[in-house]
Amino acid sequence: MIRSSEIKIKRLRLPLLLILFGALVAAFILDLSLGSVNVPLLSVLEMLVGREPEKATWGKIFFLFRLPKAITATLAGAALSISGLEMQTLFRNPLAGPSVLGISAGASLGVAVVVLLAAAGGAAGFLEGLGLFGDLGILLAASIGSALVLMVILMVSRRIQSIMTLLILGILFGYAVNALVSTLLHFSISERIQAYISWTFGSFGNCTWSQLAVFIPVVTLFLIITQFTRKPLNALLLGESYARSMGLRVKETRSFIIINTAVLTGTVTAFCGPIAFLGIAIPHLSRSLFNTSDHRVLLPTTALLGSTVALIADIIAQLPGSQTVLPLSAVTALFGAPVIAWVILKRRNLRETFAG
Amino acid sequence: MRDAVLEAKNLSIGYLSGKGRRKLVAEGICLGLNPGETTCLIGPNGVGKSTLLRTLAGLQPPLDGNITIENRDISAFQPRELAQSVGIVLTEQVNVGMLSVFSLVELGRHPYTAWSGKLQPQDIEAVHWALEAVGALELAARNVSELSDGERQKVMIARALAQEPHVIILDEPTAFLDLPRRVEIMILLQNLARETGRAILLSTHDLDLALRCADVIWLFPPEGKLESGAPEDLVLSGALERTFRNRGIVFDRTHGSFLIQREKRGLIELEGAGFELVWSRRALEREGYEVTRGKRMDRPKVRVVTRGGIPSWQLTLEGESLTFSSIYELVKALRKSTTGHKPSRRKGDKGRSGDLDTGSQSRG
Repeated sequence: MIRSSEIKIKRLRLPLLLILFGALVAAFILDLSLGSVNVPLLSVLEMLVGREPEKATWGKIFFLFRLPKAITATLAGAALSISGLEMQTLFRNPLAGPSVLGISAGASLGVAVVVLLAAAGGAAGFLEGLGLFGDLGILLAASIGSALVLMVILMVSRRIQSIMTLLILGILFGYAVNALVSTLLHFSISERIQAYISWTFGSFGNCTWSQLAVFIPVVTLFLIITQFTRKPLNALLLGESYARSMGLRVKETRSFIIINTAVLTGTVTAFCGPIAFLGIAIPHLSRSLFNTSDHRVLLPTTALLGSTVALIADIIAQLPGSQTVLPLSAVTALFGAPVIAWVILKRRNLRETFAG
Repeated sequence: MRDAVLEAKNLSIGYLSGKGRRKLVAEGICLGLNPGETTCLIGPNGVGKSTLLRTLAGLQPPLDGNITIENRDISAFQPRELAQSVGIVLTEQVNVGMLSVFSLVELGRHPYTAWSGKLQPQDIEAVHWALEAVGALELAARNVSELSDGERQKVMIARALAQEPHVIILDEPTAFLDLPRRVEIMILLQNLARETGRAILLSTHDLDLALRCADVIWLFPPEGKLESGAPEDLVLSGALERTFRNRGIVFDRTHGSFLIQREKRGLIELEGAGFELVWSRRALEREGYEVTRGKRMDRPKVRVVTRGGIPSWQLTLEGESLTFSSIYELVKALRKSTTGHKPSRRKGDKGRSGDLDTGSQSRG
């Protein structure tokens, strides 16, 4: 009797999963096609299977800009959403997200130091040279910043019993780091502030192929590693006491999940800037759609949904057919928040998942 | 206690606070849990019942002494081995989110499944069996958040059972439940212990129920040693009485239940018959009167008269005679006649007896 009911639920999930996968593929292809110059869908498909395009410019746009951008969006969306899911379960808090541990604040500080201080420190051509050295410098700064925060958080988490204390400390730490950024901003000249601000808008389009050579393996590897956390995450649904009683090594698991999240978030923030909202909202969307808190379902579907939404956000940010580009963070929040708010309110999953 | 599945020797329990400082809760505890038996841990609030349970479950280390399960020290257990030996149910209600009952119970298979958490046929069998054992099979497809408190507690017990442990430890499993549900859960636990040969240990504030259902009682007094024995042995030795003395209630050995200790109001005479007499007596005792029979003019007197199936109460007090149609009115009049007693102390008494769950003090 139970078996049949379980199977019924699973049968319902399969078509939904296929639809989501279809949506991801469609969003990926559309993202390749649409932009300031629209490349016809047919040419996009031709180029994807390796044929020469009709116009050479299309080929250039496709290989130098569109394809790296679409790949970045796909991986970044998945990485942020999965980080958010892990944090929400680890902290048993619906408002937790990838930024909750102060990792992205750390990345911001790193970037702020490079853009605002190093530039002021005499490297006159720094801003002009943002093209090559600048991008890599920002990347390095963001990575170092998030890695430092990660180390602090890990050290603290080993000593702390209560996961709630860790959550509050993480948030406080984020505030402190942001305060340092504000101070730096306060003493900087406006062009540098402008450069910093434009980094904080976030973009999937900054990754060149040489940067992707780092980005793709790191993010893919950690996305795969994340799939190994489905069982511990499920045990953590009942809280740490129950998880321990079921044989989970709580502190090791906690460190594992924190490192995992930090690397994913840190990498994405370094390459794409701090992208708001995806990490918090997508796990809720996924829970609503699949009507479960089971991480065996949630981990793959959250990644899938995250990628799709990130691609759609990127398409909107490019304002197809126009020369203007909107800030990515603004798009994810402005267009995504109402949609996801609607889904969550309709399903009322928040109360069921986290109330009390 | 040769056949005990879980044994504690010279156990000191408590917490390690920073820099190696120890906060000792209790020491010198020697205990054993036998398979097939239900053991109830009772004691006043704040003596460390939860700490003891958490220590026995391996959730926190003992400060001193050792705990063995099947003659192996639990500090030598791998987490997975320990999980296969001890299952727990905690007081706090967990919001697991959107999980079906089946998925929740399935979590109990955690120590048996591989990294992916994929269930093997024997795991599904175990979940099925656990649900059946607690009588929750028909709930399997329901969402956990839709369950009533009693159903949810059953499912949590099934989850612990699916772990197939030797020992199940429950911290106040009946705390949120109404009386019928409490009895149901207690009987369920007792049957589980008997039928599956597992050792079940639970803490409870429900003294009445514990005395009726437990095979063994562990009595955890505020000071002194933890005592264990059959409920009746503890009553006869006076240990139960000692533990709960001076707490606003007294244990009445004759009736085998707890009585609330009240300020004495003196004697009152009562006359009547049937159920009306029984419950009038209780009402008067509740007010602190000692009820007697007899015909002395200087004492207040109540007569229960039943005419045509409708009872009324005649109160004779200082020569005056009044008639009431309900016990409530009778008691109210009595209370008015003896104003001037100390209200502050009575309030304090009530607060303390509240600790012991006054709801279950009936003499049944």
